[in-house]
Amino acid sequence: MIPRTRLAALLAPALVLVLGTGCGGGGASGDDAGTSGSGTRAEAARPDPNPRPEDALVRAGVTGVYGGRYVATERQDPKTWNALVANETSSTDITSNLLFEGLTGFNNKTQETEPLLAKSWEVSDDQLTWTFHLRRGVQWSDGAPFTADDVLFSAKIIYDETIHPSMAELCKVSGAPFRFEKVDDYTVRVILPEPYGPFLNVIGSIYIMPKHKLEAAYEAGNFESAYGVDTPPGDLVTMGPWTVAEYLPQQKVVFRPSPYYYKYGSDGKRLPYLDELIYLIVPDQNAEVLKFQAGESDEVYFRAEDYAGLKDGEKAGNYTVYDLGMEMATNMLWFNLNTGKNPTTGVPYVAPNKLKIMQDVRFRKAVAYAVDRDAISRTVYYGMAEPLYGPIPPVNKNWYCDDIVRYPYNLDKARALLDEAGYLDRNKDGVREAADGTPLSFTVITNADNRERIATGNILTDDLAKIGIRCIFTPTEFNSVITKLRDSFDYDAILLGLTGGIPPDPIMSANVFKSSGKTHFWFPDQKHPGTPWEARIDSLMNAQISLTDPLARKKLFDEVQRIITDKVPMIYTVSRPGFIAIRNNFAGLEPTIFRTWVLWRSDSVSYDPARARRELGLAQS
Amino acid sequence: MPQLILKRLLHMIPVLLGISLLTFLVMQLAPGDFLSQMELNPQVSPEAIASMRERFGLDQPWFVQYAIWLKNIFFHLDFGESFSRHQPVFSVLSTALGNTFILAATAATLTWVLAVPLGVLAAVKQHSWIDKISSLVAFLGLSVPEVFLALLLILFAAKTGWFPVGDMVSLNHEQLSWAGKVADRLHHLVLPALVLTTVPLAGRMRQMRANLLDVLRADYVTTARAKGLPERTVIVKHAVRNALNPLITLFGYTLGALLSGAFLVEVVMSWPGLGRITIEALISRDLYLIMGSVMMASTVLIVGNLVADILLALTDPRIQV
Repeated sequence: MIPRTRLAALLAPALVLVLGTGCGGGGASGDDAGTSGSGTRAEAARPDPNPRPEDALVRAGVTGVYGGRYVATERQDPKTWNALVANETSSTDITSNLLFEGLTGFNNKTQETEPLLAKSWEVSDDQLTWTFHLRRGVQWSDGAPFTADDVLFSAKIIYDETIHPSMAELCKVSGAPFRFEKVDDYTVRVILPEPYGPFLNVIGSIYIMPKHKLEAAYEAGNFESAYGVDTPPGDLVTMGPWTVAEYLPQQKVVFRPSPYYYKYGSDGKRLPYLDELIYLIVPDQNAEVLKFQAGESDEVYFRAEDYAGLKDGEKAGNYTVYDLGMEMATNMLWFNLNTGKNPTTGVPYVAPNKLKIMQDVRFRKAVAYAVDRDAISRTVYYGMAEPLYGPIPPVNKNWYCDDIVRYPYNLDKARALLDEAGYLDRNKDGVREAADGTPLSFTVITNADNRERIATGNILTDDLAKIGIRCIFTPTEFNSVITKLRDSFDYDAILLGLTGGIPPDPIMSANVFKSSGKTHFWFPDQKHPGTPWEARIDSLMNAQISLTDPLARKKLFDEVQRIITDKVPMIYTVSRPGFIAIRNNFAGLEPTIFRTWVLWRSDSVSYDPARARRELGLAQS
Repeated sequence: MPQLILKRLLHMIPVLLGISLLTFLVMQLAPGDFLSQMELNPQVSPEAIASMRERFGLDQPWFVQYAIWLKNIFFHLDFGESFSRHQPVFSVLSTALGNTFILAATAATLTWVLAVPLGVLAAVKQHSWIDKISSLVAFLGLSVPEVFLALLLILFAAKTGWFPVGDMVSLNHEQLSWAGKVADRLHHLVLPALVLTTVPLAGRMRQMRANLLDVLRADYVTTARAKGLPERTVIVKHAVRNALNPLITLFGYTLGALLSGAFLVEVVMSWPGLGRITIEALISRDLYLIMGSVMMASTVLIVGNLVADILLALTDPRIQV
C-alpha cells in the first residue's frame, strides 16, 4: 500500500500545472477598448503632424471616427511583403490591398477602373501614348516623396522575367513591352507598340514600389528576398493605408496606419480610421469559423457548408452575415481533344477511336445536357449554388454575355443527340457504342483534395450512366492532374476549376481561349488552330486586344463566349456562393465577392458600434 | 560512457544521410514540383516558368540537386532557401521548431508525470474503482484520433469561452505583465498539450500497470515482503524501479509520436509550430523547406533515442550504452 500522502506528492506537480493555467485565463480574451452607447462613439484623438498632400484623394461619402481594431483571419502565412514578387493570395491579400497601390485601381464594387496614384490621364488619338499625371505631395510611409522615378523603377522590375512572370506577360502587346518615360517628376508617359484594350486594367496591377528603398537590392540581384517577411517592420516603407507593425510567423500580422497616407474621408480626416488591423493566421477552416464565433476575430469568409451554423448565431454573436452572391471561379469538365502523339513513343495521346467520339460536338452537347446542375447545387452546396453555362459568370458585370447557348438538364435531349450521332447500345450492356464498336466509356479525373469537386463528379457519373455513357470517376493527387493536362496528355476528361483573375478582363483568360495557349486545356499549344471555330476564337481574341473601345471589345468577346458554349469544349457546372460574417461593430463596410471581401476598402472601415447597428437597422445594445 | 555517446553521435551521420536521400527521392518520384501550381495560371507564360525552374535548379536531374544541397550543408552550413518565401530554410524553421518543442515537451512531461503514478496506483489497487476508471480513460484515449479530439476541444473552447480557440498567445499579449504573459501562455498551452498527452498517456499508463503487476509477482518482491520491509519501500524502492525500465526505452519513441501528433494538432489548433510549416511546404512542394524540416525532426528523434538509452543506463546498472 502506498500511503495517501505519498501519492498526493507524486500527483501534485501535475495538478498545480492544470489549476494554475485554469485560473490564468480570465482576462486574456481580447475585449475591445471601445465603448458602445447610443449615438456615435466618443473618438480618440489622433495627432496628425504631417501635411495634407496637394493632390490628396478624397473618398466621397466616407466618414468615420478614429480608433478601434479589426481582426481578420488568413489561412496561411504571407510569403513576402514585396507586391511585385507576391503571387498567391495569402501574400497578395496584404501586399496589394493594404501595403501598396498602383497608378489606377479596380473598384470591386462598381467593377470600374478608378484613379489612385495617378490623378488623371489622357491618351493620344492613335491610342498609343498614355500620359499619367501623378498626385503631387504624396509621400511614402517614411516621408520620402513619391515621384515618377518610383513608377519607372517598378516598370523596370515587372519586365524582369525572373521576378514576376505573370505581370510581364500581361504588360506586353504582341510580345513587345510598353515603354515608360519620365516627362517630369509628376508626369509619366507610357508608349505602346500597338493599341492595347486592357491597358488601363493592366497598368493598375503594376504596384509601385519605393525606389529609394529597393534599388540597391535590385542592383545587387536580390530584389526577391528584399522586403521578405523577415524584414524588420521599421525598414518596410509602404504606400497603402497601412504599415506592418509586427509579424509573428504562423501567428499574426499587425498593421498600423501609415502616417503619410494620401487618402482622406469626406469628413477631412486622413484615412484609415482604424488604429489597428490584425491578420491572424489560422490554418484550419473549422478553427477559423470557431475563432469568429468565440469573438476572437471580427470577420470570417465562408462557404455554403457553414451557412446554417453561422446564420443561426447572428443575434447571439452580435454579427451580420452578408450574402455576397456567386464567386468568380468557374468549374468545368472537358474532354481531351489532343490529336498529337507522344514524341518519344509515337503513340497517340488519345486512342484515335475514342478521340473521334470526343471530337463529336453532338457527344459533348449530350454530356452538357446530362449535367444536373440543380442536383449539384442541392447536394454539394446546400441548394445555394447557381447553374453556370458559360466561361464568364454573371458576377463579372463588364464581360458577362447573356446570349449564350445553355444546356439545362434534359436526359431525353441528351439521349436523342446520342441516337442521332449513331451511338447506340448495340450489345445491350447498358453502355452505348460507336459504329466501330468503341464503347462510350471514359475516365474522368479531378484533384482528390477537393471535396466539392468529388461530389460533383459522382453526381455526373450517375447521370451519364442514365444516358448510356460509362464514366470511371477517379480523384487523383493534384500534381498528377497538372502533369497529365500539361505534359503527358494521357487522360480522357478532367473536372477542374479556374479562379477568375482581378481585374476580370478577357486578357486574364486569353491563354485558355487561344489555341496556342498552354492553358487551352482541351488541346493546348497548337501550332495552327485545329478546327475552324478555334481559328475564329483566336482571331476574335487577337482583335479584341487591340480595340480600345470597351463596347467594341465586349462585342467580340461575346462571340467568343457564344462559340465556346456552342461547341462546348468545356462543359460548365455551377458557380458557388460565398458569404462573409462581420461583427456589428464596424461601419463603412463595402463587402463584395471579390477578394478581400471587406478589407479591399480597409481604409474606410470605422469602429463605431452605435453607427453600425443603426445602419444595419438593429436595436441599440 | 563519453566515448560511447560520441560513437552514437557519429552513427547519426549515416542515418541522417540515409533519411535525407530517401526523402529527396520520394519528393522527386511524386509528380510535379513547386512550379506545377503556377502552370495552371493562364497568365504565366511557359517561358517564364522555364526560367524560374532553371533559377531554382529544378531543371537539373535529382542527384545533381541532391549533391548541391549536400555540398552547401557541409561547406557552408546552408540548408537552402525556401522557394515560396525567398528566405533561408533555417530561419523559417528555427522559431517554429522551438514552439513545437514547447508543446511536445509539455505533453511529454504531463504524460510521464501522470502515467507513472496512475499506472502504479492502478496496479497496486488492481480491480478497484480507480483501476477501472483509469482503464476506461485509457481505452477512450487510445481510440479517439488526435485530430478529432483537437476539433472537439476547440469546439468546447468556443462554446464555453473557458479557453482560447487555438494560437499560442492572446492578441493583447504584449500589454500583459510578466506574470500575465506566463499565465496567458499556459492558458493557450492547456488544450493542445491535453490532446497530445491523451494518447501516449493511455498507453504508458497501461504499460506501467502491466509491468508493475508482473514485477509484484516476482520472487524478490515476495522475499522483500517476507523480510518484513514496509510495503511502501517494497513498491517504491524495489518494484517500481524495476517496472520502469521498459518505459524508459519507450521514451525515445514517445518523442517521435509526439512530434508526428503535433503536426496535426498544430494545424487544427493554430499552434505556430514545425508541423504547420511542413504541411504547407508539402502541399506547395517547397523542396528545401521540406528537407530542412525532415532533417530537424529526424535529429530530434535520434537525439531522443540517445537520451533514452543514457537514462536507461543510469537507472539500470546492468545495461551498457
